[in-house]
Amino acid sequence: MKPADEADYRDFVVVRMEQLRRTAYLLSHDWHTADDLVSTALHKLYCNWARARQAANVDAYLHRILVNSWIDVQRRPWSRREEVTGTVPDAAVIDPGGDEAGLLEMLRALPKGRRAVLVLRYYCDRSVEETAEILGISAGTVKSQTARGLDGLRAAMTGEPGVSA
Amino acid sequence: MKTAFDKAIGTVPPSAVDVDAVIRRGRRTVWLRHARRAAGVGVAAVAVVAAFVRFTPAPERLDTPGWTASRPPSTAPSLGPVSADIEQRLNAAFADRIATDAPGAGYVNPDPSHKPRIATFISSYQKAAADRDGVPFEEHDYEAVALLKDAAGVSQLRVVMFDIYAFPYSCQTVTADCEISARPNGDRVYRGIEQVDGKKKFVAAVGKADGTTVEVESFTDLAEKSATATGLHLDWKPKGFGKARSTPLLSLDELEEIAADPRLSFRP
Repeated sequence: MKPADEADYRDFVVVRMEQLRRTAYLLSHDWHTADDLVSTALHKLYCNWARARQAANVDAYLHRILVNSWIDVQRRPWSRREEVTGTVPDAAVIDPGGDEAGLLEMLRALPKGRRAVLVLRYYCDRSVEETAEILGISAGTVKSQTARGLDGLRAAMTGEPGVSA
Repeated sequence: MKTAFDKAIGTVPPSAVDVDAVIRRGRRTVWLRHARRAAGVGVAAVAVVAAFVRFTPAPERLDTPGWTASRPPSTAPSLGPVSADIEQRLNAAFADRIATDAPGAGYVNPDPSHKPRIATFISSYQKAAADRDGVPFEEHDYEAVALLKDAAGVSQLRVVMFDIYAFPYSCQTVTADCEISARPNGDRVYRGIEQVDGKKKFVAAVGKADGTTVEVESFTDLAEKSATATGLHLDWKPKGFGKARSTPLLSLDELEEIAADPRLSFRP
């Protein structure tokens, strides 16, 4: 990469670093994991900077890398290190505490796909079409996942079952 | 909702993302990619020339001692980030660690039809995952399993090595005791005592400066159910080799030392 391109890359990354870390944190719910995800995503972006700059929306391109890096992490052997139990726990009812304190826990309680959709749509300001492109799903699926995700948040807040199936 | 998310996140801790380090690693990856591509062109050119020479009447060339179409160029550089002898090298290091840390244990040969396979590193994933996110990115993932037996019973020792430029361990996702720390040289360490189907498992992982992460696990149980639950892929039936140990063969300290062994690295 030419020095000028590298300078462009650095400027691009530095400006977005804070937002990128927050997005990674919303996905992973752990700051160490979030920083590792951001490092991995930025490395991939560097390696494909020339192509990324040709993209219509470089931010969407970076979000795509970040989300896919997170999905890759979920597939890794160490991410499957969860205790196997035959007892299904009661559905969690999260007390939002009257403010945003419980929002993260509610988000965490959602299935990963819906979590990614909500984060991209409502935190990264991605459109339905951009979210569909990033996640490799249809716009209709994004809409339904968004509705169910929001429904899940409401259900977690109220303890009532969601409306959307 | 974005504001609500930001409020929920609250104070953001200092960043551990080192942009300069990312750029340095990116430069290396790009260089390797270019070198690999150039080597591919070079090898292809040699093959074309060799084929042309082979099928063209040129007795004086064909009679040249040692000249064959399949002979690789003697000057072909080592281009990959992982050495060609990695499996042999890792096997030797792993076996040596076992001999040092578990001198009283013998290997159990899981399959008599095979040659004694006491510890085998297998490349389970080594390719460019270009289709996943449109970005070519090579990763390495090696795995070895040793079945060990001493006076107290049989146990498994498993080593997984991967290369994703991240140390993806968190105590939040683990159901048992665990801690994250750092070694004096800065390598990151994960240590955990986990329960799988009621059986105890010791786990230690070390994230090294060269990008290699080594995870070492010691099991007390040999049941396939347990192996499946932990993501362990066995190509033999781990039954009939005697009773399982009541405690893992190696301690957490010993596992950490194995994981930290500089020989267990993609780029020693």
